[in-house]
Amino acid sequence: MASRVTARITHALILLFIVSVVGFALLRLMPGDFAEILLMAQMDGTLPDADQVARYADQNGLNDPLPQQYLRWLFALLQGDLGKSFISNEPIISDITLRMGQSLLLAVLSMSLALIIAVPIGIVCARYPGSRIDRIAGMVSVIGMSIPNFWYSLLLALLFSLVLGWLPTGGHGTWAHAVLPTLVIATSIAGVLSRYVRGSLLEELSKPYIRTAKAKGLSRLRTVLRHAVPNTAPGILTFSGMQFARIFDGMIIVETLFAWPGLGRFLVESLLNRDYPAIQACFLLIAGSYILVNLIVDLCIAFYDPRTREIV
Amino acid sequence: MQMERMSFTGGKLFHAGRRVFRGYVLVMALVILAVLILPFFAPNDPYKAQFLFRLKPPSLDYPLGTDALGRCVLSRLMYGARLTTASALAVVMAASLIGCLIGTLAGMVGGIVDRAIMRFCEGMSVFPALAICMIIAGTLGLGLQAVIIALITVHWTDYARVVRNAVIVERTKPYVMAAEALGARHHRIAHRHIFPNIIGPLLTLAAYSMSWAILAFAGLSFLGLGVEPGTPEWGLMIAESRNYLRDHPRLVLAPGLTIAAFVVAVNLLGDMLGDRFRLRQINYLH
Amino acid sequence: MIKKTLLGAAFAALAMGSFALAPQPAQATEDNTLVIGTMWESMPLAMKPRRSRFFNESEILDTLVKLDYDLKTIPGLATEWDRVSPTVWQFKLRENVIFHDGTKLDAEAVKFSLERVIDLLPYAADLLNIKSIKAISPLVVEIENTEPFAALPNQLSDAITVVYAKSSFDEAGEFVKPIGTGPWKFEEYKKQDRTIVTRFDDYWGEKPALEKVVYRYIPDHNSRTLALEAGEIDFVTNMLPSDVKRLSEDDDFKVYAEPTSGLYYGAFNAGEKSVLSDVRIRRAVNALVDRDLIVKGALDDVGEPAWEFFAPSFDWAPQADEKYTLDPELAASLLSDAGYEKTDGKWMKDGEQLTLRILSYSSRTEMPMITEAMAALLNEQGIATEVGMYTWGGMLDLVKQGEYDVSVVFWTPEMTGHPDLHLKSQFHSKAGLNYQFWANEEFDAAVDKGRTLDPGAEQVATYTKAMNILHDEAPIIPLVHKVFVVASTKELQNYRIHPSGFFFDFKSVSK
Repeated sequence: MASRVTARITHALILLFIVSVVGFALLRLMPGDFAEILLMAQMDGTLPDADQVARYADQNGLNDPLPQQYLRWLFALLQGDLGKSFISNEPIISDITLRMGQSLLLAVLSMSLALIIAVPIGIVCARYPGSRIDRIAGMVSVIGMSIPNFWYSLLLALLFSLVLGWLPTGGHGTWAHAVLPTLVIATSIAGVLSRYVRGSLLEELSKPYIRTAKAKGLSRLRTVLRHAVPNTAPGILTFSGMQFARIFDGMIIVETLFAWPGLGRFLVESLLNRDYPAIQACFLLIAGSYILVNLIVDLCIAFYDPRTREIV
Repeated sequence: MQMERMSFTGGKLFHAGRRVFRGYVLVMALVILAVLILPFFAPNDPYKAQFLFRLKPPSLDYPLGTDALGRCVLSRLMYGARLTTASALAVVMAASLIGCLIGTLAGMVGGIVDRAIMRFCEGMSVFPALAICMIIAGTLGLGLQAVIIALITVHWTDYARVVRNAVIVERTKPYVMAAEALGARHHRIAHRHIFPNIIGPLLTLAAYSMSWAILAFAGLSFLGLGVEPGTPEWGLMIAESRNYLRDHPRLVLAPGLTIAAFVVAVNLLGDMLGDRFRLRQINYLH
Repeated sequence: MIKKTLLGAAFAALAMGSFALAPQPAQATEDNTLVIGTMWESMPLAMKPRRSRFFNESEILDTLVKLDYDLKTIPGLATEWDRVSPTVWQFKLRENVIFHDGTKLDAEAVKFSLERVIDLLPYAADLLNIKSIKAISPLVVEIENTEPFAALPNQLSDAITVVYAKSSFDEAGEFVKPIGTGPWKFEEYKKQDRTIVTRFDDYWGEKPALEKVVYRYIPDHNSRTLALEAGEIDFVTNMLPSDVKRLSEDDDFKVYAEPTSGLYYGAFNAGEKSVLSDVRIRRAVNALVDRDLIVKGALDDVGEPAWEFFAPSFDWAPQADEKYTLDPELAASLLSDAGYEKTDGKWMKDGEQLTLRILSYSSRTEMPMITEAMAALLNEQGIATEVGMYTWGGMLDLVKQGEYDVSVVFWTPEMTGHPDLHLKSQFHSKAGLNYQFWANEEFDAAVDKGRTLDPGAEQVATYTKAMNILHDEAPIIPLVHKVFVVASTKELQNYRIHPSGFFFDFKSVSK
């Protein structure tokens, strides 16, 4: 148990280190002289001359060896300093905190809805494999995975906002604003999730103890609910944890389309702004939070399921 | 990403017999080929703007009408088919090649090399692929090439994982162990014994990654982070026509349905390959 | 079992947490409130010039001089002004004007504000040309210019010169929030979402009819109009041309359209990194693009074809003696001179086709359409294009590095009712905003002289000379003169478009 936890945490720390190095390199990889670009952003866009650039580079330690610069940068980062935006010359952290909350809200809502849709469907399909319901659900999930989400977001917005007038077109502020974004993200996750639930239940159902349970006279549905579901739950949780990455991909599009002020839209804006410090901050935050989410899911499973405690 | 050989086959959408299967694979191969030569049959120049012939309804000369700049929608769809398919194929091929090499290396050499590579690949798999692609493409300066490179960078790790796992499984089989004991070289073992056995999982993965690449490509273009404006690319066509969604829905419906149909077909191919090679197939590539 | 409960509880806690994060209920558009959908974030803290534009157009703050509906100067916070010597102006301030924080407007306050503005905005000094500001009595401000400067009253109508109360800035002189003298006072700003202003009852002029104006930031051009049609907002700016057409046919909405200050143009990179450093190619491009087709084709007739820099509808604006027309033959001879040869319908030189890298930004509604249309027209004429769409900031970044040939932009050259504004701030070789690497001494001299001259024959001659150089040297290709279009619900009364394009004048609007 303890060794597993330590191993997972070490693994996460190593990944975080790699992410920080990549994040640091990201800003240095951009085209142009780094000191000049930084200085230009501070001078409201006027071109600095070579003397100014040299002085600036000297003052800010941009001529130091890279490892030294990295350590200084990392130290500032750990104190919450994500740098200043090239476009607004404001600390990026102030923009990010606002948007993190909005993205988190959307992620939790969509994940909940996806589970509410996918788990029952998966159970029913696993209970009646090969049935008409199973096949229809299978087909629908393939189509759900194949339709571009930006496209059906457009169609949904047209239908619900304009033709029916039930929901606002975009923005945030009320629960009504969250309906369409949540729906779009949840449906794309639900397709994959229901396929996974069905698959892992069927696998569980083929195991000997289930045959014993059946022989004891338990009905098939009860077997599924009493035995198969609890035993597959850790797997489903791990899988759901991994789906947060997919949710974020969905959010990039949905937040842009429905004007939801989250991290996804911030990333798109930063890219179109060519605002490298903001892009770097997004990268660090996204990567960092994914490592943490997966670590937390792993640790939860370790507590939940004694069988996995011994496995390193 | 998780591919296990299983005695139980789940997720069957079609209970395909061998003949049906071969037929479908053949049809898909033909479709992909056809898509690549499709532009030669386009009725009009997809780039030619006709400002006084904008937003025209379908006619004989313009079977799907014209868009906001008076360009032939059908011709643009046909050129887009080639662009999208060729780009997706490039991504799949490059990613599978890199992934195979590194995966085989990990599986054959083992030890610290294997652990390091696998830790890295696992790490990559938890990140939001589209976001990382965007960041890579954005840093490289956007455009078609940048997007393709970004997709490959993110995607090869999936292949490496599959190949590495398959190599490990195959290596423990008696005949391979025997060959190793007899002193056969690594590359010979890989070539003679292992590759023939991992072709199935690879093909299946390729089908799914193709569908993923097409959707990612369209999504990036839609956001304005993919191909150059004016290029006949499906995602971009939707982005450029969305302002006309209400008055001329066909401009948005046509490319959207095309993408959906194409991706459904490719995903079904993946499902059938999965069934054929008796893999428990869960498409959760990103 | 306990663990299962724990897991359930954890999930429930997460869900509850998300409820706590959820925003408060939205406001529908209430009776005394006007809700506007805007294209730009109305109060971006960092975009200083755009921020001042917003303070002026929303009338949170006032300028010393204002412009009427013919772009003639009228009293603002100053009631009259005199030129006491060629370089010295005196402005007499309006009596009994108070700021939103209760302090009185006096000469010291104006002096403080103008000096802050010059400090904070890099090109304000250039625009105002000020040597010193003196408060010579409580209500008289004296401004001394570095040279004879006739354009000052007009320049003082520019939005960046709005008068801030001292409490708008913190101890260190950094901007905090807008406190002014306008009919609307700043109430609330939610980043990326909205800015709210409410009626200021002690306003010195005509009191607003409504109580509150909400500026909602809706960056998506489609959603903005959708929001009007769905009843979420009362008033929408910067609509898509296709929406203009549909809403004008709909009785539930009013559409307002007037030509205003504003020009869409392609700014050429005349520096060494571009083929357009050759003036012949710049001129040829000017003769190759059919502006009428752009307006008809890309904009559904919302706009006027631009063959000149200042729109001819402003009769005070100087014009060059000649204009470009669509003239493929002239273009062909210019390109041949420059060493290009037309083969297979393509302009080639040394085996390579003439190719232009065109940059623009998609955050302004018409930009992508105009840019794509221009690119398509050039392609048709045998010039290849590589188009890149960014945000304004993203484009500017590339432009500053000189990595472009044409950047398609929008400016409002007629905004102050005086030709100086744009010619000086964009094309003068010393201008901070000149990223075109174009410099012309004669042009600089003409512009430097023009701003010192009173209206009259000499001023006209000087500016005509500048305009002729602008025509011959062709550092830009004018594309479309702006027609400003907004729409509102049918209940909205008394709205009128101001020709500066930067003044909403919502005081008399009711609903």
